[in-house]
Amino acid sequence: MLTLLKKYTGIGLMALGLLTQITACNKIPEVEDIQLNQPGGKTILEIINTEAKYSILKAAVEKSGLAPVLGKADNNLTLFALDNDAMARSGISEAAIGVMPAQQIAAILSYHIVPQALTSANIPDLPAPNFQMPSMLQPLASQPLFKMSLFPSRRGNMGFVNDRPLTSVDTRAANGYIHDVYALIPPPQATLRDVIAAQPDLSFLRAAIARADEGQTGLSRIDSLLNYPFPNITLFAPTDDAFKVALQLLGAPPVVEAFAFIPQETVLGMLAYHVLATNRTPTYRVFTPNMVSGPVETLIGPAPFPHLTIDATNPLAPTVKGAVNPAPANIVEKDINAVNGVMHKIDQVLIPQL
Amino acid sequence: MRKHNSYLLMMLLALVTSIAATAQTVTITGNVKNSSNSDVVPAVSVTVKGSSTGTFTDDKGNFSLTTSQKPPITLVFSSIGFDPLEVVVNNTSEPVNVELQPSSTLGTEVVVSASRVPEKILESPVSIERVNASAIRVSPAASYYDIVGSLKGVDMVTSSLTFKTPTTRGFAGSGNTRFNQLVDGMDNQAPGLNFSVGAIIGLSELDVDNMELLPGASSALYGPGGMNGTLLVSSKNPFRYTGLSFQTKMGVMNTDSRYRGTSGYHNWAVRWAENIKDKFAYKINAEFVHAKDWLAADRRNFVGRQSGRGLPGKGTRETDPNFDGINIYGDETTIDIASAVFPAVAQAALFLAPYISTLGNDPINVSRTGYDEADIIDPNTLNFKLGGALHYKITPGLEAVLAGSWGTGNSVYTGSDRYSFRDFKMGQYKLELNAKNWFVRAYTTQENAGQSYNATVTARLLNEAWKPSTTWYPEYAQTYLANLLAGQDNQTAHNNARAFADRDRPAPGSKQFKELFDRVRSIPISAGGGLFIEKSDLYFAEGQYNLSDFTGKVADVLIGGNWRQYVLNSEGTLFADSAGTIKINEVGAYIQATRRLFNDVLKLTFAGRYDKNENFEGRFTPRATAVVTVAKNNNIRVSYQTAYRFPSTQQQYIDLSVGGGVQLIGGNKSFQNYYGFNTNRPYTLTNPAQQHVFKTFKPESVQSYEIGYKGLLGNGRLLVDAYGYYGQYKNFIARTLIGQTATPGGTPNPVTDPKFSVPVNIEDKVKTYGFGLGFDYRIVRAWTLSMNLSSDRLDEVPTGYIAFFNSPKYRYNATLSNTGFGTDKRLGFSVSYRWQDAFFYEGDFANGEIAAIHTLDAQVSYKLPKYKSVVKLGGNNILNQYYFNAVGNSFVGGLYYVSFGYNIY
Repeated sequence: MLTLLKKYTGIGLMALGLLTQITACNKIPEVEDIQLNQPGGKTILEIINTEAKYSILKAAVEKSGLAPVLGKADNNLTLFALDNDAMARSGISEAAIGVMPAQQIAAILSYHIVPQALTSANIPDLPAPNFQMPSMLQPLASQPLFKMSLFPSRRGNMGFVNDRPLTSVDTRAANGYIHDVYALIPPPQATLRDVIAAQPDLSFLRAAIARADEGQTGLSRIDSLLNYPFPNITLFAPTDDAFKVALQLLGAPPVVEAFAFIPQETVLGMLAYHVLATNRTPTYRVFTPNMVSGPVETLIGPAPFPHLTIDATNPLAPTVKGAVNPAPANIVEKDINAVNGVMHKIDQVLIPQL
Repeated sequence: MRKHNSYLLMMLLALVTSIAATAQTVTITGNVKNSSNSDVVPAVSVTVKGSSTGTFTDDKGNFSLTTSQKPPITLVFSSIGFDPLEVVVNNTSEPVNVELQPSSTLGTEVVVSASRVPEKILESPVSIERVNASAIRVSPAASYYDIVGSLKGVDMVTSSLTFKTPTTRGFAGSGNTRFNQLVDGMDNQAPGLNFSVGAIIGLSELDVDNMELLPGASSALYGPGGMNGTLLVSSKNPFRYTGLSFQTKMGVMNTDSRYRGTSGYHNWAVRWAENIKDKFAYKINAEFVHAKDWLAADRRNFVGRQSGRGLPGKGTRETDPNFDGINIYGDETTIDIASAVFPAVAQAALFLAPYISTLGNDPINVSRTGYDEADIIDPNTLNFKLGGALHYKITPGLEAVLAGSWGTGNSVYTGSDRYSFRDFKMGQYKLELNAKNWFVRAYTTQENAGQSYNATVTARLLNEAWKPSTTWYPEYAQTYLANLLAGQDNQTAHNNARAFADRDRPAPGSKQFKELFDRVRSIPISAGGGLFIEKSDLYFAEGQYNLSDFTGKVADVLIGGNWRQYVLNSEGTLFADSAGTIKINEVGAYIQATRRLFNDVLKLTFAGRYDKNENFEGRFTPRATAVVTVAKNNNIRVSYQTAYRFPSTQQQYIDLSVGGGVQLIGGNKSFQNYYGFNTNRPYTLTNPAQQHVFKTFKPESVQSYEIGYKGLLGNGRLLVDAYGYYGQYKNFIARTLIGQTATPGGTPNPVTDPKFSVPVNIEDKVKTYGFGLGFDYRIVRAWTLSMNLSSDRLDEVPTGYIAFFNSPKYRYNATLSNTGFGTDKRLGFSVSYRWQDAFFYEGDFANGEIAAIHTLDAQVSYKLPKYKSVVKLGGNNILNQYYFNAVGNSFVGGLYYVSFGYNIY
């Protein structure tokens, strides 16, 4: 039995030995993953952290807690960066950063970041006044798709964001682009209604709106429209002085109570003539750098309704003229940015027709 | 009860036999043993030389023979694997005890299927492979059907543990409509599928007498379908093989828990047969298989499914938002959120419109989250087979057979998708009359797909039932945008979006999942569920007559004919049969003439067959063969064969919405009116300016030329078989997409217009060629070494043509076995190695590279002659090297078992 066992064990082992020689491994193909192209170069964060001109910004970013977002190599961002000169122009020093609450810094910085990589060439030139882009500033926690918008624009070689000129553009980072901005872009805090409400020299405008809204409901109320957070309204807001002149011209006393004696339709039409529109819809938020000389449509309606005429020959001091007004109105306070629009205070009431 | 019945039967038979038994008779009894180990030998044929009188030894080796001849009587003893023996009996009163010598000569077997008449395998005019019961006994394969896969030139596609599809000469696929399988003369295709369901329905392992494989074109004798081969399985005749046999296999699978936890494999089989006075015999068979199936676990990304030419590519669920895992179901649902959802978001939130425009115009395709095969397909493989037959010899030369086999079970099959066969049932019932020169046979196949369902459709609908895509995608798209707006990178935004949209997704196995799943899979496909109803039947009648007794002087002539009827019944869920069942009739007739010339040196055979399907023009298929005996036991064969197949029942009558606005329809003319193609001409989807031309829908066909050699060398110890072939295929059936405008003459809009997938014949010809070479070497008495190498190639494939050739250029098998060694030669063993080359697999479900496959199977057995039993320790793929042989199919690992068999012959 033992000899038998020995004999066959030998044969068996030899056979097995042979077979293991020819039996290689079968291959079950492994799942292959996509190798994402990690863009080379420094991230926005690394650029801020290494370039001397951004030392104040660096401190702000550090304090804000936005560093992880700006330092993520595979996301796409655009930062409207404030270099030290811009910080100085805006009255912010490193010491100021030290005392500002982190949350406030985060909110301000978030309003300087667009969650998309945009080169200056991506920003459309004329005829579009500007390009509405979401910033990373989210006013309502429950509305993740609703961000405070930024309005980059381009006029040939000149770049802007809202009313601020860009001083240097297209610094390439691994995760997007940096464009230096002339000064801090203040995030809007309130809707146009609330902005108007807070202005001491717009009491006539408030009274005019109240008169126009009598008996109106919903978004037909100018008041409601000015408080609706989503549109882009461009409002030319005549100051109290301007209204006083206009009321006298209409033969009414220059007091807020006078609106009660003017037909509601007339007040409504007059107010509508101060809001820019495309096909009766407020569409664009026109900052002064976005103004172009020529006729512009208002909420009254497209031609043949009377239009406004803008003269931007001097881009730093454009004027706007109503159809009946003998002379153009001057913008006395420009580019007051609200959540839902921009307001320019003017020194005349614009009159569409007599 | 059984005893009671057999008494009754015996009384009946005694009555019948006593009428004939009036002459003076003698009864000879005796016993047959194996000379090498003194084991009894059952099922030995014992005949009186020069007469038709004969019997068989029973399971104890005993025989009893009654004859009217007077001594001296010459008895002829013969059995496969033994040298025949003649014994002269002078004294009939003494028992005749003989010992048979195991045969040392190879190639003595007789085959039937090559020419429909018995002939020595060496003289077969076409290539043939044979597996007999003793080969099944010594094979390590866990199921007899697996042995087919180790034959020369065979590719096996493994959809699952119990669903395996063999083919030869290329064009492999699970569910092979180009390969015929006949079991005891019955075509065992599922009538609604048009392909054989392997061994799920058919013979139980203990009842298999032999399998004969005809590689290549074989329509000339067996009718339409056998373009790439025919497998004929024959059962054990109850006159010859009697007594009680049983076998139990207990095994383990998934031993390393790599894809599924370690699980058991169980196979129980039992057979009972009784021969009553060589006049009446019956048998009953049952087999039950239970296991946890191999898991198809290909998690690779299938990229480009929509193009119709997808390939495994890079990416996972975590890195590709449009991930579509091969064996992950439900993630086939995909849309471009950039065009389908973003516009609505931009409209509702105008302030986001410019931002959305910066995301570009490129589509952002997103797929829904899928479920693994393990979650969707029941892992329990069950197979229960029941069979029985009654044989009655009306006269010694005329035998009537009433037989039935029925099977049910769960399995998994890969067609255009992975299908879970659940409670699938199929029965075949036959009545047959066999005489020396003729037979008539009628049978029916009754199929019921039970609760079978399509994995992809079911999983997609499961997703929809939980959360409709109209909700899921907007949730996804908005969360994706919100994440981008929050400064997330693209991939994180996608992943967070998916996590949000899937936040309350039912977990596999949870109560909610089960409820949804059971609801979806129980609704018919046509009513928006995953269930396919299939209760089609097949009816068949045939007869054959051998005219050689009359024509022998000129030639041996054989004629035959058959009628076949399909009755399609899907209750309107799969076929265009909502108005009632669809019947398809087919008739065929064949004739074969054989003539031996030059003192039997040359044997010429011509065969021809004509078939007419009511939906197609008649087809004539000729075959011509020649066998030249160059020396004794050395033959060269040359053949010209043709074959074709009528389009499958599905290719003729399917009418199924497959999603994406596409209706899968058959090629039958009735669809022309039904969908108004004759009044509103459809256009080709690839070129909408061009009208689609409906050409006559034709059968596929092949012509094949072959030369081969089969011979015995080295004193009968070396059997060599070699062949080379060349084949040409034409009119392959493929599908193409067409669109139909809303109104006749309207402008085509491929996006919104209804689309149809219609079968078409591809006019290009495809050529194949290949060879096979096999050796069987009897080293010393009980030692055998078998090796074979084969090759199949596809040639001159037109560019862009998808041939589904699916065959490795080379494959190789080697087996070393010993049928008896050690003390009293009780030990046996067998080791088999198989290798196949890498190749590119093309299928309706998935395409991709198949790596080279090596498998090693082995068994060791020990006989317990006293108890007529064998204990076997066996393993398939014993190195547990997982492989898959078609993309999307199960990953097959090692299966190890111990079997105990009683009275296995």
